Amino acid sequence: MTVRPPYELPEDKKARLRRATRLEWISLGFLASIVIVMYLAKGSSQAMKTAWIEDILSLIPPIVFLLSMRYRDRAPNKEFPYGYRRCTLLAFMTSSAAVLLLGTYLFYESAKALLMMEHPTLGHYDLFGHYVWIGWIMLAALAYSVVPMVILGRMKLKLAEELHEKTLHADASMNKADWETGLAGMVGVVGMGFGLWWADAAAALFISFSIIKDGFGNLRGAMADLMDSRPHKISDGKPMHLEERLAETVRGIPGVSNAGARLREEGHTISGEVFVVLDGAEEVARKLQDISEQAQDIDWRLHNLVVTPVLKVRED
Amino acid sequence: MPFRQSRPFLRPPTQIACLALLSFLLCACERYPRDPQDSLESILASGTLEVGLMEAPPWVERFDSGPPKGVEVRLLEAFAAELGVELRWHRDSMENLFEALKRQEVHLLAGGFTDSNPWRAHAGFTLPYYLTFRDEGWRTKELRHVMAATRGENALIMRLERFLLEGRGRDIVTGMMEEGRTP
Repeated sequence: MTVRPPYELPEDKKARLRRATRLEWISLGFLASIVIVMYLAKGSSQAMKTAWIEDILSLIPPIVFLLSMRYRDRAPNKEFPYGYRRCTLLAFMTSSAAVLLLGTYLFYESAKALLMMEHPTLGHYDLFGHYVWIGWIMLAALAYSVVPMVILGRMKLKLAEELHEKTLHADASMNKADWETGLAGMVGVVGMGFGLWWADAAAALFISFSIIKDGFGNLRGAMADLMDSRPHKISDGKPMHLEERLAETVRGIPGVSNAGARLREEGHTISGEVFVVLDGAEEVARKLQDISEQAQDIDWRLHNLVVTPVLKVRED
Repeated sequence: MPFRQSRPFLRPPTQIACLALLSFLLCACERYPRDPQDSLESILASGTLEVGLMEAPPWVERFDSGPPKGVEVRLLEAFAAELGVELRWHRDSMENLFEALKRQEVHLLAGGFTDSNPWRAHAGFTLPYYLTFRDEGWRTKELRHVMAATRGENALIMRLERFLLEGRGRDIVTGMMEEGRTP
């Protein structure tokens, strides 16, 4: 069997990837502490509970990223001749679906709290023997949950664009947008202090909405990648038009009279086929087409086989 | 580009939100947090504290024709005195009293509640103000005693908590419980 040769990142990207990995470990550390702090401070507030669950959910992208670092560079083998690069996308898609589902549930819960006119009880908090209003604790916890993540998010976003790493990008943009959640939670807590019971449920609704948005956006992106969509720019989501550039370059090579290409993203790499019309090679081309047709007769499911002439067949 | 305008530290919507939050906090010192349904204010205005009682010795002693007795009764009497208001007792079943609490027909409930009371979702409990222990054979269960107010009436709850945890209430409950333990 001929399996695909392994891929190696360019040296400068490798350094960036190491930095991204380090940042993700730092994020995980911060998030773990944030989850604990938010749990201790959440009291009976729906907004705090929703923000707490959002913090738990933001553990998923760094974990998926760090796990995929272990698997994605495994060399292709007989069982997986195209390699393991897509494992990241798969993990990311399923976790996005979970985020979407949980976001929907939290939306329902918050809407219910609003409709049932639930008044959250915010009394004293026992802070090592000092009794303070739990609202102040909540505000401090929310501030702690926002500041490090927004800074880390900005740092990761730049790396994600340079590395074209989608999981990292989704993670970074979720972190970067974290301040909205934090601010919504804070407004909710302050509002409750003024006796506006609905401020809590309204803030929770807002936060659950941002969870749904994240889940939906990430799910759509991961699905498109798994469906072999053409390469898109990570920064604005527009097509890269790499196919056209590729065809044009190949057309410029002497001896090539025409060329076309199709590409797909496989995790962090791009792969695909380039088709060329070579001067004075009609015979070879016709032969290859003939081989392709005969080969497809072997099994009814064989379709659109690409036959490539090589100097030597790799056997693994 | 020869000249690039430096980006402001925070974008305009964030600036406004921060300012709003800051001004909120500045004027928040007095009477903060507040009750959504003004329980504490209406108690002070009307001069009466309506309290629902359920039998639970020694917290609320067995009901007779006379005035109620018990540790929590004493606590609430001292609390009412601190607020400078009259007390009015209401004796009823658990369900009726919790329903009355929801409708704000009574302000507080006492009846030896602990924070694992099954009605806790229907009321706003104070922080535990006293611990007792029950021997359950294989473990000793910690009973964390609380009182109940209407959910979300945070100013009233916090006033009561301050009384129970840091104020005169703490001395009353420890005094009475220690006394009861050594006959």
